[in-house]
Amino acid sequence: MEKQDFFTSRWGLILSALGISIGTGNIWRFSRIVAQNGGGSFLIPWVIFLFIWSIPLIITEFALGKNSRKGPIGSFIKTAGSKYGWMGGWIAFVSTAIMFYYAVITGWCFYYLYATLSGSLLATPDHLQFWNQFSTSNLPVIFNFIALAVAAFVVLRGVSNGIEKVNKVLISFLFVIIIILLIRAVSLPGAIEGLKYFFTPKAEYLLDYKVWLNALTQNAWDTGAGWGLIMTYAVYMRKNEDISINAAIMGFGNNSVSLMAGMIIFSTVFALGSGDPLSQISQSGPANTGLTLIYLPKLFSTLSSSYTVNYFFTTIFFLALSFAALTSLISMVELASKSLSDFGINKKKAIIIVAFIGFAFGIPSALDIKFLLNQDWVWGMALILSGAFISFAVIKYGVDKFRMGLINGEGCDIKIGKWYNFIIKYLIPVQAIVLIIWWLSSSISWDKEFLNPFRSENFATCVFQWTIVLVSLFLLNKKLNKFFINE
Amino acid sequence: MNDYLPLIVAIIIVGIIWGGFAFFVSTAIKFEKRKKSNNA
Repeated sequence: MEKQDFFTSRWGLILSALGISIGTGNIWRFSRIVAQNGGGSFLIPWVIFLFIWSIPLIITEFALGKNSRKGPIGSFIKTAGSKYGWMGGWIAFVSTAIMFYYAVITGWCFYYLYATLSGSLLATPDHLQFWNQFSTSNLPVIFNFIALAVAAFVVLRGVSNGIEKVNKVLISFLFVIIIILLIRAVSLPGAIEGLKYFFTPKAEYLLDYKVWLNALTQNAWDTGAGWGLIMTYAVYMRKNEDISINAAIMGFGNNSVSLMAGMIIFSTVFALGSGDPLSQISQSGPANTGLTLIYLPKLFSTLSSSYTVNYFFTTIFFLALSFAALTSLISMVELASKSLSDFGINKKKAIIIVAFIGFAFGIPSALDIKFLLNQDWVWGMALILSGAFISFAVIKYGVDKFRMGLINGEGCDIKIGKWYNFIIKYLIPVQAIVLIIWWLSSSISWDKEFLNPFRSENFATCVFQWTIVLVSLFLLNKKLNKFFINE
Repeated sequence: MNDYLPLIVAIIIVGIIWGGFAFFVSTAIKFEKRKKSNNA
């Protein structure tokens, strides 16, 4: 029996939880989505959904992990019952599938940091060509390996010596870097126009349901709520650790970083960009890299007439991006290896298996961006279903019993009120159903061949891959149970 | 009024998000201090 490792302090747990949620989505997806959805008009629903999607799910995940001391499968069996272990299996599978391509994205960030340090990124006259040369070479595979090796090394060191220590350093540095970049960006001449756009709501966008659905999607993808990652870290919470305040810090902390990143990007692009700044922020580019890996490096190289100043700011930007990506990847490796070790496999062996499988399954995404986009579409969408499954587990257990016993139980600093019952019982399932229907129906309209499952981002590829995984897990349910029922 | 709209929205949004973050961090510090003094 392996000795249970715990987070040694509350701040270690909070910074590690922030490490889960603060990822590349805060820096490169958030600004793009704000630009596409009317600036300040997007921010209003985005704040509302923090309260009615993200924070309630974060609270629930903390409670599930803390009380079951198991990964998602064991947590579901213990909470919803033995019939529903497959739902936990779905959550574990989806986050692991995301890990396969997220390691590739982390590798991109590492490479751009390396290219900045070596001077080649600032020296290039054509940033699009620089990206094309990189993405069509074997370098993404090599950097995918490096990213997974670093993440696995941290997880191998354990929770207190690895995950906690690394997150304490990286997330603290990340906050410092973001604040330095924010001060520099908002003090650029012309930055005020970017900030004005970022904070100005427009009635026509506020009345558009698509803006609201995009705001909900951003919360579902960006805060780490519903991924099963918080559930996994919560396994290592001490018994007398609080849930409600920690969950609130995680939700507000994540969105604080998004807000700062948005202000940095809007200020920089409006101050330094030529042409239409909005189209430059909102353009996706290849694999949605347009803003972060092509346009921003170009702008950073014109930040000032001093090469040293430009070098410094470009370096700390890619350092922040790499830290954000790595801390999220670490949590994904931990979730996958914890789920494996729950079946009796030695934890260290499980981590090595996960790292090698992760590398192997990441190769197609590293070599073919269309494959990466396909996986991002299929498993990104699947997270919404994961959120619905988590609320189902609580409903099955009894929402009030869950709130009073597991959330407001031992170690609780602030008791959660009955508002939680309403959100989990009604609002989360309704939001999940609406989002899934909206995204799937939209995917029918944007692809004429929507019934062809071998296309990159359409209806059939999503339903096809989901069905294979859901049916397999459902059929394996009895076998999954065997490992947990006897405990 | 329109000139001040972005400023008003900025104060509200930043106030809720950053203010919420600062509020909960300070609340957690307060509870941690209380727990430590209780243990002592």
